[in-house]
Amino acid sequence: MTLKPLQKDFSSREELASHLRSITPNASEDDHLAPAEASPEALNALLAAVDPQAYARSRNFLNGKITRLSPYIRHGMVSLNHVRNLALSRVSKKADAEKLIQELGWRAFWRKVEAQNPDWLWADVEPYKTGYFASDYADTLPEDIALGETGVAAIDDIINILINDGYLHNHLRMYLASYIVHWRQVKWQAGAQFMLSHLIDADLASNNLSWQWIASTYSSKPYIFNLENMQKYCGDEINTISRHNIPLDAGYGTLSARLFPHKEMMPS
Amino acid sequence: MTDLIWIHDEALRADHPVFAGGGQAVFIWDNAYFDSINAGFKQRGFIYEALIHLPVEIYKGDTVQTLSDLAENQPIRTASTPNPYLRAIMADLRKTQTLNLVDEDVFAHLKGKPDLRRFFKYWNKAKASAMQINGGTPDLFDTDL
Repeated sequence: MTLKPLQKDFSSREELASHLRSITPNASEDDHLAPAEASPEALNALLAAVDPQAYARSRNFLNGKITRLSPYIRHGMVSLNHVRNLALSRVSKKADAEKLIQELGWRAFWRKVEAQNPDWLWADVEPYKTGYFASDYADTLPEDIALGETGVAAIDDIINILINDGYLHNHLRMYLASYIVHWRQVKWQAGAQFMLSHLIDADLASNNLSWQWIASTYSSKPYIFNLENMQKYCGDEINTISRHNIPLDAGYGTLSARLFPHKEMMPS
Repeated sequence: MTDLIWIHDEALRADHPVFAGGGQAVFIWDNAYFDSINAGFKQRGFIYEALIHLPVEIYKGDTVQTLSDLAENQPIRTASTPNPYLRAIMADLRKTQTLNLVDEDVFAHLKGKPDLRRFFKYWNKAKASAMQINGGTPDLFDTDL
């Protein structure tokens, strides 16, 4: 039997997208490529811009000096070893590269967990520490979340970036995951699946185990945030106006009492 | 007999160690596999675009069947992975084919078995190696788990 290889020459990214739609079941005309290009040139530009000290200072801000290397690392286009070596070569003191290298370490850690405990990719590692049992959470993602029509402006902005770009800053991933699990009481598995289906760097280990960290099934407490925190880190890209984000606009004590009213009553 | 190189979605670079030694390289465009890892259209597009720039031919079909048809009696060489969905495919392949695995470059050599219940338990053991070029000298650390 002679097998015929698929086409590799395209005159444009749109032609590639069209070809991809033709070989992808259930693809729609609305399916487009992400802005990030999987080319050596795009990767080299990102590698040239790696600045470990600026990363350490600003990585939590949406406009911070993050590397955007995750899609390339996820697909083996560059190794953790290469990025680590590059980071070390860009500093005079090793300690100045530690934050960036530690974040690479998270990726190495998730992959080791995946190797040793593949069941943890979809099963709760530990019980929720929220005052709720896993059975208290919804199995499926509400449609308003899937469509980015929750009515909470900042969350809808994040969902729309996810859908359009196939990429989110790590802080936005944390906000969205926390909102879905803790505000909407949806099982982390449903949220993780939603995010995987849109991200260009979708990876079962990094994505799902991070969702478990947010949910508290793989951490000692649930991760929550508030509007003030978003206002500090998001800048103008996300609508953080108070009256458009009422469920998020409170202090941590108030939010914790509201989201986890039974937390103290649960056995530890 | 040279190996047939099977490039999967975690080894999409021309200088990946799996290419060392030469041989024909192929990627199997397997929609069932993509579905199993929840890869959406944009991620599939990212993967396809990466393949355009690699010395790899792309074949559409079931991974095990297509690789078996392409390899016939040739050994198959591929990148090792912790991904259980790829590992399941590799286990199926081994039933009829010889499969040789090539490891990715090491990030950190670890002293002793890592405690994976929490990140910082892992990091406290990995940091000394991770903060050195190429992870330092393996002899200084017990194992590269």
